[in-house]
Amino acid sequence: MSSTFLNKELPIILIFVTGVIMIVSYFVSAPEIYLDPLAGNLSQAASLIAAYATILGIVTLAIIHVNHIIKRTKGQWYYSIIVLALALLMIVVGFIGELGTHPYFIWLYQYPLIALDTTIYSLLAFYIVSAAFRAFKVRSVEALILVVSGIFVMLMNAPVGAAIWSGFPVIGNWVMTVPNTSGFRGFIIGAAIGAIAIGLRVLLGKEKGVLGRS
Amino acid sequence: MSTLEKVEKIDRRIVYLVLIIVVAAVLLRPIGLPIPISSSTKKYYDAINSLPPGSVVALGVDFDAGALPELGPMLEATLKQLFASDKKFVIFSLWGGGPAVSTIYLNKLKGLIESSGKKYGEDYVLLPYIAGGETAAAALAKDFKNTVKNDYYGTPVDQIPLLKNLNTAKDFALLITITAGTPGVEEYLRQWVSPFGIKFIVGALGVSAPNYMPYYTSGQIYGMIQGLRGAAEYELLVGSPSIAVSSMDALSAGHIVTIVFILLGNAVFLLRKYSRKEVKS
Repeated sequence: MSSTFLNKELPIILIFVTGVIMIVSYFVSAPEIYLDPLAGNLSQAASLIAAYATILGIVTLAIIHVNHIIKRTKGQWYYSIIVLALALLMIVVGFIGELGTHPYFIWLYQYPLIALDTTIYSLLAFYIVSAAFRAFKVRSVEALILVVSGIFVMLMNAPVGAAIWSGFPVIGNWVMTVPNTSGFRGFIIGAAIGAIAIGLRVLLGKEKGVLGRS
Repeated sequence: MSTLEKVEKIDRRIVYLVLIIVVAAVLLRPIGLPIPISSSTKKYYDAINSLPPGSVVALGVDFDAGALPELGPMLEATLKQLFASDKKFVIFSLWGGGPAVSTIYLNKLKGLIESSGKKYGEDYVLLPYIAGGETAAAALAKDFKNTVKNDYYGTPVDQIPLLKNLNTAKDFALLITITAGTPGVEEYLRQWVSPFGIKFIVGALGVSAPNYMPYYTSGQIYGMIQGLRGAAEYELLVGSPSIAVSSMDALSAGHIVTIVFILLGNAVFLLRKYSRKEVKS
């Protein structure tokens, strides 16, 4: 078989056949022609491939950090040692007993990991308040509408809003269910139409990036 | 530098300090503001209560450590409601950290589980992480027990009584997802709700809830807990006020500080703008 067939045409044929099977099985149930079990098996195969991709991601991450350590990348190499050491610790402890169920693994997840992860996320609150003070300036009518509706939604969300005035939750709820919903609905429909267009291009082999070519 | 300029260019550390002081103050001396219950949270609660006895619920724990402060209380209250009810449920996850998070809360509720009389394998099951995002959701919906070979503890699925008759999404009475993003709501809508017509309720982050409002207003999502405020409402409905309820005063304080700074920033901006206009004229 020529390399062009293996590199270009065979992947496109596979993409097209599996794509059509999955699309048809979504709308049509036909167990008598083995369509439903085939679609189920393809879904499970995709799930397995994703699991292997996770392993590939870990290996890639390890290679990047090992390179930093070997090259002594300035300002980075000691953090790479920490990343690799902690990742190795979690992997080794995770393999004790049944995968990821040992009390030591749960302890490592519950106490250091959750505490550090939530601390990083909680920093966002400070940046948001600082950014709101500096950047949320009413320079136009649109900005004024944005600020006013944002304040009403914030006061709808916090119990203090209803305590100050009963109208805050009512207006905030209206903002969420009418203008917000209509805006997001338009965005979702537009994104879905775009996804269909991209999907068709991928199925027909017109989307070059999918095959990994530059 | 004029006073207005000094206020406009205030050191951001002062802003951070004001936020810390105000939030800490209300945490140390709670105010106890009333928490009205929203209709979306009530519908989430009622969706579980209204199921016939013995119904099987699919509970997707689709978040990990970062979202735990906001979604953890929702999960805890959902588990409390399920364990106190006559429903059975299967916990699974499309996120890597989901099973660990589920284990943390199941360990936390050990006393409640023992007093409920519910048995693992017959009344509830914990499945491992299923990789693949939307393809995993599709695989679970089409062929549930063949998508995972063992439960989280390594027991083969054909040895677990609860999973015996669960073949597709149709065999579940209700789908719940408590999710921090993708994979989550949209994936379940496309692979579980639209093809199989299953009732769907969602626990979502406060920042994500506006994205899901189109699905909630159209009825595709039956009930929704929106952020930490929704979690507090749900804890009150379940009759077990906990960390979400106790966080509400801090939430109120944080929002008030943000609004005050927005108004202050705009007041300074407008005053400087008009004072520059006066100088020019």
